Amino acid sequence: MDFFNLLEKLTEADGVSGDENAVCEIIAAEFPDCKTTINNGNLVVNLNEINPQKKTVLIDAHIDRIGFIVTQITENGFLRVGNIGKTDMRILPASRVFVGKKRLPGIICTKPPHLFDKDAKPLEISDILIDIGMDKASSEREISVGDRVLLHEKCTRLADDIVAASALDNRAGAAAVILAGKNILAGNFDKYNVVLLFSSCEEVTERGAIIGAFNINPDIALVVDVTFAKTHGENELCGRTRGGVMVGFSASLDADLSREIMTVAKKEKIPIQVEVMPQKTGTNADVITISRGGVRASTLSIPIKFMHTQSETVSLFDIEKTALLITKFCEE
Amino acid sequence: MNIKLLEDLCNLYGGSGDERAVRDFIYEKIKPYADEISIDNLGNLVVLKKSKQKSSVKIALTAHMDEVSFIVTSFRHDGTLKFAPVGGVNADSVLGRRVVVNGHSGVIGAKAIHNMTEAEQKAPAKFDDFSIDIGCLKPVDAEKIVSLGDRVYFEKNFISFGNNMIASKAIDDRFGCAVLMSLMEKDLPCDVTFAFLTQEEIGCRGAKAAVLDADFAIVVETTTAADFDGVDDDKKCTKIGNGAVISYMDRGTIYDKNLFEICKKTADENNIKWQTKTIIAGGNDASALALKDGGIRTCAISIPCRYLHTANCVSSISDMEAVENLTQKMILAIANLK
Repeated sequence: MDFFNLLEKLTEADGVSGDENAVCEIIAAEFPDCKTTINNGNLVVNLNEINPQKKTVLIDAHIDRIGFIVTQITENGFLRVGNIGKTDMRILPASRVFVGKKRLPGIICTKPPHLFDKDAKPLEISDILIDIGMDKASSEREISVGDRVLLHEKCTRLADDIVAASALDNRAGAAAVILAGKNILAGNFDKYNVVLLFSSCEEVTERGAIIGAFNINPDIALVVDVTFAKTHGENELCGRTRGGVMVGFSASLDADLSREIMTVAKKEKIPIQVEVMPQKTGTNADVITISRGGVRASTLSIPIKFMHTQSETVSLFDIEKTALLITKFCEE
Repeated sequence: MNIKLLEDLCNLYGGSGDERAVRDFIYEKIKPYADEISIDNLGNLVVLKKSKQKSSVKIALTAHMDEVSFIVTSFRHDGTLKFAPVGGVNADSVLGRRVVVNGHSGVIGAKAIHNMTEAEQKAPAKFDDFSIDIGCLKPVDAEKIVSLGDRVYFEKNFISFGNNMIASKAIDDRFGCAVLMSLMEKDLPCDVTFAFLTQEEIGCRGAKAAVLDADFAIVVETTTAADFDGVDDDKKCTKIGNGAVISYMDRGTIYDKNLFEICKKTADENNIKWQTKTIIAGGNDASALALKDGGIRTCAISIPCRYLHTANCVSSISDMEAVENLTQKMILAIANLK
């Protein structure tokens, strides 16, 4: 199965938190025969008609990406910005960005050696200036305060099945849920009502998941997101790239559900890894589990390297196996 | 300014000691205009173009072909590559960048920010903490497609943007190469040696080795501009849009006083915008040329360039035109000296 094109389409899309509608449209087009609803930056896809006699499974993947928001145009025509989500500030100097809906290219300013300060503190967002190559008058004509800024590099294949892209957090998860949704539609699934939630604003306030879980009112939720893959400097808790999806165990998750998922994986011979998150998960599961009387939830996390940089890397194998596991769970 | 030529040059991969792709490209383009071409043992491409006019003045124009780059130093256990800079690249401005290693795409990454302690986050960036991910998960797989010592380049990324601006990994000094190539097509008032030099970024080694046979040299280069908000005017060094930078002194050279004055006068007489640096910073092949062969009288004409030695150097086309124009006029001014 080659779904690189799907992943490329998803990772090339805008959708900094609070501005997800374009991504919703792209994903809705993948489900022409299903009821789809877009509101609050969320896309809800009902794979079947809700039968009140059946339990409802919510499969969530957030579709927002980290970025910046323009707060000010300076005397010299540069842009000052605020953070949306937790960007890795180390990547910023001399990075290329795209500003606004027209995607005007910009470069993040970096000081030349003669201005280096030995005792310099780590960069803060208030230090950041974006150079869009314009004077103040031109910048004011082209840019509005409130415009979103993307940290963006293209989606590229590396060796084997490894893909480098921006916003793999969590377009990789979204791709897995889209693939799963299509698999489920193509097979038999009588057991559950299955609802896909492509949620907004996970990176800031988890608003999309809070609203989506309330409206869908599920019994069970599978939250599909990304997690840390082992690479140089990372510790042993991280997942292995191409080791399969990580099933979450956490005080805030439903351990029986996680074990049920592992049983399915074992039966279907789908590779998995275990991810232990002692208290909360840092994913949408944290808010979905406490929605409307509570929801039994587990996390399915795809290991990626270099999270929250413009060059995250992921294995297509891991995405595909995540989709397969979700499919088999819903069919069981 | 021939922007398409500049784009083609900037999108080539050629680091210090590995300038072949750039040299081959230039060689093919300039062949029709050259009277003599030599490539020396250090890879310098030295081209003589004779004048139709008789003049005893011998001028060399120089630009360097190499860009800043990296080199693979070892394989890490997780299949990523350890690497080191070739030239003055700062570790603060490489994380997250796309790179090309021996023709294979890769990314520069490090431990995720979420997993770093406060102390780790506050420590200065170090190349040793970074890795290049080329998509291999085991050293044995990486070794099949990459060798130790392979060069790593910022991926080609030339764009025009904003008001008449350019961003690219290699404006330094493919811009100079583009100027030399354009001037070679013109009628010149005296014999001119066009020297496309190697290894500038690791200590002007091409310029030190090159045999130029010239009395005068003009170095066509890029130089620092820190002209953004929050930098005091005296620390900006140069400003984008303020024209050609004529150097009087930098960290490598005290320039020929007489040539400096002629250069300013020539700019004024031809209504070419010019500026000088507000600080003594940077350096270029002039440091080697001024000491060569009993001393070549040397001047440097540069464009102001933001974010030098990063993946995104930024310059203005108007400044490029000023430098090209002034360089051409300076050949005439020097030819008329005697």
